[in-house]
Amino acid sequence: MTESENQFLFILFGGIFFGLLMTFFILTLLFFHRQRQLQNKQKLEQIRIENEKTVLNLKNEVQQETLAHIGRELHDNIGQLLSLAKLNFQSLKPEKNSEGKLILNQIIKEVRDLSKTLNTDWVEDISLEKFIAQELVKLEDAGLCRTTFEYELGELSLTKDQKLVLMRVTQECLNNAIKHASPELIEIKVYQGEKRRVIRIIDTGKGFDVSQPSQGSGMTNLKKRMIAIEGEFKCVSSIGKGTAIKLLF
Amino acid sequence: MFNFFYAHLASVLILFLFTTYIKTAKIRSLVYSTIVGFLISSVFLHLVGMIDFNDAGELISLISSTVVLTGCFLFFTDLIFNDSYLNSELMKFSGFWVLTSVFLYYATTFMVYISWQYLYTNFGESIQMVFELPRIMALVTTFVYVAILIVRLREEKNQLQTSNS
Repeated sequence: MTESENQFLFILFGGIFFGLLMTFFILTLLFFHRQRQLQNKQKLEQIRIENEKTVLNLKNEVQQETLAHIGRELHDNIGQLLSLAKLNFQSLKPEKNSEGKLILNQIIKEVRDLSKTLNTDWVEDISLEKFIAQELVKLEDAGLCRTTFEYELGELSLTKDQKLVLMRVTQECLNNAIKHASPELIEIKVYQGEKRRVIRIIDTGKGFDVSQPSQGSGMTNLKKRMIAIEGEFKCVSSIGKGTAIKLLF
Repeated sequence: MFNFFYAHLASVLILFLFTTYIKTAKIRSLVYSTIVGFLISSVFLHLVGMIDFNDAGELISLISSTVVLTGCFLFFTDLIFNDSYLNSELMKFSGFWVLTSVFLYYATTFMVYISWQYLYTNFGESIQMVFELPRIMALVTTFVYVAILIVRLREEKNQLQTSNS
């Protein structure tokens, strides 16, 4: 075989080898892309399960609180009223009997009110606006701090889970403010932000250093809950300057 | 001016085609840099006389093929690492087929182009089949483009019908 024939074969087989190598590259690329897609799918599934778990935990929490509230009501209120009614009915005096009837009516009313708290559809019945307003009224009535509330959104189309999470997170933020910051004023504003709707909670309390890792899991839980409804939790605070929290949804 | 229109313009146009498909800004700017680098280096080589304006151009073929293959690799890098492709099926993505056919065209004809003059001088017409390879690959590439065009037109027609109904 002459040298020029050798060179020709080198060019020919070199070309074929190069072409095959590139084809192999494309096939490897397809395989790699498919693998990444599968990994991504698994990751998304994991996030979905995690979010579902967070919402489920939240529902359990609400349920437990409701049961504890019912237990307290039965023991401290209805139980006492029933004992009182029993004592009145045991008396031979007619005025005690009519007093017993009045207490009985009150018991019926109390049981009715209590049964309402057992109704799990309360989240659907109450609007976010009304819920926040009620929470702030509770704080004012207890004399804990002054409050202001602005609501700039119309009727919100939220799922039950979204609404439940927003209510609980707002409630948690208010509790945290009262518990740790002792503010004089709490301002809540619900408005349409640039891209998403916002619940902004500002307090004039002690504030804290956000760069310091928190001892409890409160803040992490709040963030996790917001992520579960594809929302976002933002917190800005500094010592002595109060705290501003934004719930984006 | 054969090379000016064939190697330079074709390569630059193909690289610009790549930029329309590449989603990552950094990779797109790398392709633009490749274009600029290619133009500067080839103009320099023309000016110093290393490449003649009218020859079949082994060197310019080597440079332009390498540049296009580099563009292809950049596109494939984008395809692998850009998360926005994770939800799309590559087999149904027209950009993938367009660029893969360009890639395979340049990969298979690379050796023929860079040794064109040598082969022609030493073997002439006796290896006609080798010289036909770029033409066959160009036909295959054109066939792929036509197929993509037909599929896209059908898809658009179906979408239009769905939106109308």
